[in-house]
Amino acid sequence: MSTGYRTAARLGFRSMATDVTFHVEHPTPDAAQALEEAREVFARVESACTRFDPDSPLMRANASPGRWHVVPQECADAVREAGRAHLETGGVFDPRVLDALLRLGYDRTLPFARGAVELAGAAGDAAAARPRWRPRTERRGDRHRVHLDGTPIDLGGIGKGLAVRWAWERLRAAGDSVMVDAGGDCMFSGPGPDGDGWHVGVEDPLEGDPPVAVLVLADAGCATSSIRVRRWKVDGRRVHHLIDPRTGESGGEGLLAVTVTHPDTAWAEVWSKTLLLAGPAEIAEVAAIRDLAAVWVEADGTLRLSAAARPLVLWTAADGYL
Amino acid sequence: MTSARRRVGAAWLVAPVAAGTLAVSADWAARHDPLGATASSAHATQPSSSSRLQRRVQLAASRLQSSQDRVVRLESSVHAQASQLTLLHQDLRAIRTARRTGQPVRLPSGGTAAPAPAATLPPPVAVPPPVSTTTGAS
Repeated sequence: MSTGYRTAARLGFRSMATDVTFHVEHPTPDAAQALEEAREVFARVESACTRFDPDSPLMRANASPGRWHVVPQECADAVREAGRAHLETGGVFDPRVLDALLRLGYDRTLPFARGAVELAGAAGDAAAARPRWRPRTERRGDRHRVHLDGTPIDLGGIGKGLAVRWAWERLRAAGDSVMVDAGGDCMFSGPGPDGDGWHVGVEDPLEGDPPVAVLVLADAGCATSSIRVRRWKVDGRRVHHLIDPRTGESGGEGLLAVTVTHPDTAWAEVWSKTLLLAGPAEIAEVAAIRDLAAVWVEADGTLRLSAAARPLVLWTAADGYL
Repeated sequence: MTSARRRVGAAWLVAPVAAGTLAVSADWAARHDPLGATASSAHATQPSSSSRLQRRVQLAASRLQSSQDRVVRLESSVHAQASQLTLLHQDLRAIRTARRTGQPVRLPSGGTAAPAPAATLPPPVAVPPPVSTTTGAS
């Protein structure tokens, strides 16, 4: 219930190798408990879905992906959602790119924020085209099982989007307006701090600050796929973490970043990655066909908007207020 | 003095006094006639109150008219400035295009301009609005 005075509750912490922030406007008396429960959501998703802990449920399943494994509900739900995304995007979203990431040396948490990273790549060629991925999940009472269809997977991106979704579900009744932000994977509800929607800056992938655009969002999620931070050199070759499953190499040549807004943050994450991998020649068409609100930055710094994104754009660095 | 001349002289002395007394009496009678007094009093107060009310109504109407005139003038001004802003915006886009292509440009506002060097054209609004958060590389 609103008190009439502007009050807000915030909680910040680090999880899933990124900074997480919860913001609740006009918090209810039980908001503190909701904030703590939302924080626990991130902790559970991280422990269930991380690939940087060999003892995590995901990595135990990855160790023998041709068998059934009992896993926590968060891991089973993430595998099921990743399977849906693989189907919905025609295979462009594919968590089996884990082998390509390992081949490019990304086998541990890397200090991207501290500067240039140079790695030695592992042996092996780029993966050939694969058949469709068909993971299976099963629930009996409180017991969840997954079968990864024979290939190890990476749930990093979609796992973070799902953590945002589930944390927001814990928080949405905790105040008038709620924001969950996990390093740019965000979910917003309510009218925002000033009552006219949440103002979200789209980071400039060339310089970082100031933003290239400002969006106004309400009751929506957003996510950005960008090559600005998670990029490195392997054997002298420049690569980044957004792997095209059709080639097994870093994809999206000609695009620097893609931001998508969607009612669900996990799907904003799926579509931002899919649109980036579509490349500059096809991104506008894919966004139009899927009616996606997307904002992207091309290699020369030019900002482009899909038709569905235009009503959400308040300001751009090139044109000022629209 | 003859007796006739004495009578005429006395009449000249009495006449003003008599006329004055008669006038005072008539005035007293008029002021103390209940019907006449009521009518006179009502007549004296009613026009005064009505005219005050009328003046207030006229004043309010005048103010309303003045406010309406100001609104019309402001609307007209806003429309004119919006049109000018649209033209300037179109000019700016045309100049940017010219800057990219290196060609002279015919401005939508009617003028012409040579392609301007990039450094002389700052972004229209360099400072973004405040944001709640930022989405980007993570």
